[in-house]
Amino acid sequence: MNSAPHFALRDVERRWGKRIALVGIDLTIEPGERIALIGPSGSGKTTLLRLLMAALRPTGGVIDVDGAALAYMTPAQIRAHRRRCGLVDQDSLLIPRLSVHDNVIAGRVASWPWWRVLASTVWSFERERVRVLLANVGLADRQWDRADQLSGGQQQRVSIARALAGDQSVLLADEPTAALDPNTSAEVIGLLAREIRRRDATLIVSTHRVSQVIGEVDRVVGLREGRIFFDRPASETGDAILDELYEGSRERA
Amino acid sequence: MNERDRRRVWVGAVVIASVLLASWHSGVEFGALADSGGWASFGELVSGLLAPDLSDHFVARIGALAVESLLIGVLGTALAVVLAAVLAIAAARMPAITDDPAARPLATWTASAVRATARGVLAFFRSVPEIIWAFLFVRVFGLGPGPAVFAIAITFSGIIGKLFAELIEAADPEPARRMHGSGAGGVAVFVFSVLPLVRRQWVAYALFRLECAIRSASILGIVGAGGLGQEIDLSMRYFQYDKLATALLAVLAYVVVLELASIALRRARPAWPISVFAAGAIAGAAVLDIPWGELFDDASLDQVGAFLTGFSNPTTDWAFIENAFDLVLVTVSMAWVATVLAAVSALALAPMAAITFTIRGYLADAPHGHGWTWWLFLLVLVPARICLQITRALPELVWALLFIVWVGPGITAGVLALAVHTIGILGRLYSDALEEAEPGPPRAIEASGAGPFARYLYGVFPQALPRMLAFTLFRFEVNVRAAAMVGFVGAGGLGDALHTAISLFHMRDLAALLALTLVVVVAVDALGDRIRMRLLRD
Repeated sequence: MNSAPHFALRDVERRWGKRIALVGIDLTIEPGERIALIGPSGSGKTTLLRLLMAALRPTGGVIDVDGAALAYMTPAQIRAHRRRCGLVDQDSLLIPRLSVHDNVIAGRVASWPWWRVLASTVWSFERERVRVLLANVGLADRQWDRADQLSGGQQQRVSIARALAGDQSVLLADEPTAALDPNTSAEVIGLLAREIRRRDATLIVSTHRVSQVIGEVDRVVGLREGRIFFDRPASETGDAILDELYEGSRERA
Repeated sequence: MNERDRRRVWVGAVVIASVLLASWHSGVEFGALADSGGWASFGELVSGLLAPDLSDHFVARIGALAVESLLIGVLGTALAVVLAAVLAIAAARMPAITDDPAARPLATWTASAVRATARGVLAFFRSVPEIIWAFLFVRVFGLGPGPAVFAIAITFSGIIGKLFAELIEAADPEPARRMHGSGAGGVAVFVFSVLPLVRRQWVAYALFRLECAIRSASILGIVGAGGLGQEIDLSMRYFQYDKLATALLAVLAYVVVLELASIALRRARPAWPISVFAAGAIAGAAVLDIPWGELFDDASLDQVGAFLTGFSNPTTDWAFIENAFDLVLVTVSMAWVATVLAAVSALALAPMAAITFTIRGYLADAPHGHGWTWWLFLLVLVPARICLQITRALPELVWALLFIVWVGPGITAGVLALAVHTIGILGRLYSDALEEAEPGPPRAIEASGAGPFARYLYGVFPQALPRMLAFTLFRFEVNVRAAAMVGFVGAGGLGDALHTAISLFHMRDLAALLALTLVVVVAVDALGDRIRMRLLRD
């Protein structure tokens, strides 16, 4: 198991041409923290997650991971950092034609040498490990079904198993329940939190469904128009501040 | 072992076993590639190829031949379109016109007999490769561009006519039914309520085939039918490899220019390509020395008569038929071995030629994750693309001639020729299919820290696989025809036997061989269609 990294962001900014997605972000994330990232659409939640997993370059400021700046890392070091981060996206991004097993393995191949990746196309490696991962998300009996035979909620659970398949120590979840109905959504969030606790991993989850998440996290960061609007313990995040954050938008649930 | 692994291992085993069986049956010997004598003559070939003959008069001659090839292709296609339209109208089923409840039984019966005959003619025309028609016409009319024009007209009318007929049948029948109901006759109904519906698609398809015909016209000269191929044949015959080099370069340039021109014309207004096509056909008819007069004189009618008699009375010599049947199996085996070899090589080359594998990846603007970009571009992407371009641009027949120098005449040269050309075609198609895959899954895999290999095998290949398999199957069908073609220049199989039968005017043997070719091509196509439909369904 990788140990969870320590993130430090200083005055981070990201622009797309003239449009500003994020600006003046100062944020420290301790290993094992569980953070909810909330805010209206377009407030920069997705951009922040992508910056943290080194899938996007900041246009200003510094991102330190365990004390080393991302900007000075070699490609190999960046890939090593990405291997510690699992991603659960709004859309499960499973490959419909492949089995559930192969979809979970897809989250694992990053740490395999190329010949093992090649061999895995005709030989299913690590079946027991994948079975356990799937059992954790309640899908042990669907390992050999095709991914497109699963319901939306089940597909999202597979994508959680995939995100943690390589012993990732950080889980970045980008509105993981946006495409699900409220009941399924609560189920998926509960599962996510349980898996994170089991591993002592860091969780950063962005969402609109604040009420479902707030009981599962330590800390809430509110983003608005690319800036940090508030950053406080979950226990101190009341309705008043949420109303203020979502003022003028009706997305909060 | 679970079901998925078992299935994949089985498929792999069946493919490998079938290739081994087909190689053994057809007698391919890849060891011949390493033969020292072969290497020596191949070395001579290469050193000649490296010093092309660029003297003024020879370049001028090559230029003239290239123009001749172009005109042959254009004029041949023009004739093919006319022939195709007539045959398609006869072959298409138009319920709105023909299924008149008031029609007498005799009329209905006649109509279906005409339809069946026209369909048979179309199938026959397209099943026999143009090089065979070309050689047949060379034997009847003598050397020159005429046979090439007729050969293209015949083969391409079969290809174009089939699609023309399908388009007629797919058109909305309602306008025709209404017009027929109001008492209009068949011709009027066709001209005013069917033709307007299919005209656009007919033109588009004819123009697409025009490109193929022009490409094909560059090599028909190998059997003496005019154009660039003539020079290739002559220089091979006299071991003038410097002249051969010039001719091959000309074919390469010809194909590349053609591709660029067709891209440019496709962007132009629709009237443009049609005008260029028509002008080319008129120029071809005026410039090329074509024995129009001999087309229907006594001598050639005698030959046609002999040809048709041969068909009504094909050879019944059992030994010959048995041998022919074996040759058919050899030809299919050649096509299969070549297609699988090419598919495996293309599988390796296609990602190298794809931008998303080599230089760009799926994460735009990530913190310098692709430090090797420039070197990868120079050392992997560019060579891979050049390799695909060259193998694709030179036709199978030219590759066959080159491999005959290396490994000697026979099956092995034929299989290698088919394989090399198919690498270029499949590699290009694969690489397009890979680039068009949905970016979401590979992006997620790349973001998890995976390298290009893992993101392609897990994110991209599974998406592109059904299309890639369908392309491969289609190419196998094409290669069955092509395998009969390469035999024509001495690369074994059915082509050898066809060449002999035509050379000696053994029309009854020829009829039996052509009938067998037709059966095999139709059977392989039908099988391919069914498998392709299943592949693309999910």
